[in-house]
Amino acid sequence: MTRLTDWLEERTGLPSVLRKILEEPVPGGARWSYVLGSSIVFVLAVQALTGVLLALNYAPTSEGARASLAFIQEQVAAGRLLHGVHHWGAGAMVALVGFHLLQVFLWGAYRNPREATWIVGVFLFLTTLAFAFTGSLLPWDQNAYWAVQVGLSIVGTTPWIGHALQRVLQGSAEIGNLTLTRFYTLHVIILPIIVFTLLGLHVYLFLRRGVTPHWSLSEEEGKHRREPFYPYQLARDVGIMVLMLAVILWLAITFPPMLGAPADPSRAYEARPDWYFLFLFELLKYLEGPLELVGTLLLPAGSVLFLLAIPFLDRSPSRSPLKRLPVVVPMLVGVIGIAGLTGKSLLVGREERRAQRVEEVRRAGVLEEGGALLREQPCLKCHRLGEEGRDRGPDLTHYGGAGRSSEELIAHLKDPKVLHPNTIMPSFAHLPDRDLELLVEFLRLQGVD
Amino acid sequence: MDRRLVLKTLAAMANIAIAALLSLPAILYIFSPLRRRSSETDWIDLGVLEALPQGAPTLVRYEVQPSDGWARKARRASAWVYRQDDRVRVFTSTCPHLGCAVRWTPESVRFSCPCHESAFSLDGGRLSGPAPRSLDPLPWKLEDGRLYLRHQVFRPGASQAVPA
Repeated sequence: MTRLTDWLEERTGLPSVLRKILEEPVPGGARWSYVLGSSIVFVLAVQALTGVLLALNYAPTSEGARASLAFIQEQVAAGRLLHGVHHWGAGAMVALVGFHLLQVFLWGAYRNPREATWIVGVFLFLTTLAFAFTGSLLPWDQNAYWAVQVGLSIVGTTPWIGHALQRVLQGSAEIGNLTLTRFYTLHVIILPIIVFTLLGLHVYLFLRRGVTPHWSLSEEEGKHRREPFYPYQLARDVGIMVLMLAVILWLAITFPPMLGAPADPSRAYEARPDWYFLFLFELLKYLEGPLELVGTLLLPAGSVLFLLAIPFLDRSPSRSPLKRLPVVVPMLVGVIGIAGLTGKSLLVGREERRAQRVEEVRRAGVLEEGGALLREQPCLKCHRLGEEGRDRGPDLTHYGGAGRSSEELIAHLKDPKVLHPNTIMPSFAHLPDRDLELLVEFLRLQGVD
Repeated sequence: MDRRLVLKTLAAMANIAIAALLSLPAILYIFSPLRRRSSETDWIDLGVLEALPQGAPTLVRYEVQPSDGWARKARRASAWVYRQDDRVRVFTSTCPHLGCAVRWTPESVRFSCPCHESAFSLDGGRLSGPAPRSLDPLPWKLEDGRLYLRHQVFRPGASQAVPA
């Protein structure tokens, strides 16, 4: 063993790098408050792994995207679980990165000499959001389509360059195949390159200056009361990783992501972004006319500039949050505003939206399965449905139930002679009840929007 | 000039040349969507005008022969047609705010956008909400009693209708 280690040391120098990392002194001693950074790296690794696995069976085209994801969910072993982990892992990433940013802010860890670490961190935060946005289109269901429609339209409202920017991201005048291929390329090639490059830089800069102790300790005091990273901090980090994995697995199993009705540009949908963009969505309801730009451009861009400028705005000698009010107050206002708008958006009309979503999925299923059943049965030998069928019996294209209840229609299918004694329509009493119900549901949806 | 300076200058120039040579096609490639023609299509047949109900707007759904990359399958689109006696209005179902599809709500006799709650009147005029303009009218024509329209998309968020 020692011979192998010696050989590796001689040829690569890696063992001593590892030893240096493990012995890295933690100022002020190991703490639970230092675990966020490493848990982010862990969840990112989970995302990379599940992402690669999903890509094995995913096709980024308007015909194939939703179908391939349904295939992953329904037919690939462990597919539903892996998709669920990737879905909830994405939410966890945004939440953890947000908390990490807030914690580093509260600790005052962005200050001299760690400004560069902070700035790279802000870009990592933006990269995380870009991952979330590009990923949200890939399921290509109604919600994905319409949420991205709104997102790209927001890009389009940027003065001067907005239209060109939207066009380039969208690939075409309307969202379609070229949008999917662009978002997919960003999500699985370009953003991963960016995130791992920035992360490497971030960790390098972090290791160079070490962790910032709690604000009650000065850097000097922190250096006196220190512990090596291994084993006390490492144990805490690993504990959090196990907890994170357990939470993500539990969410993925209990609330697997539901594929909605297929994206359809001709059907209205109450689009909602994922929870982390809800505050912006809610805000846009209240901003009209020229104020619109406040929500779509000035606030987001201003917030990012503020984050980048924090290390240079904060000139207080103390790291205590109470003594850094010029930067703490705007941050607090922002956080409260985001939390309030998100809460309002989540709570108002929640039941209606749920019901609508269930209804959309059900309707898409009825249209698909009912249509197939109708074509299997001899219906179209006499009836017309759009371009198909013949004109011997009544046209079913805009039938919509003709004012009859479902029970009456089922009775009619079972014995057509009750309603029309002279009809040539045969009885469908031999079909199972489930099929009769499906046919009637399908007919009721014809001509109804 | 000494040899070092010459070599340094040549190396720098070679690097710039390589970068330019590689980035020019890349830039043309990335920005190619800007050169693609606008979204307007040929006349699309919506069927006999008489078949559409009077006095309430109808959502007509149609298929557009795609300019969606390589796709051969038509893409689906929709528009609102409002017919009252001889008066016909045809306008887009896309909210001019941020591009969601608007719904007709008969209870309040208005179109409403499910995303940010903009509202429009029976003939598409802007009533309230963050939408910057009315629902965009689409070019249409009547021929032998059949209604035809041209499918078009417009820039979101602009105060005037500009084709996207």
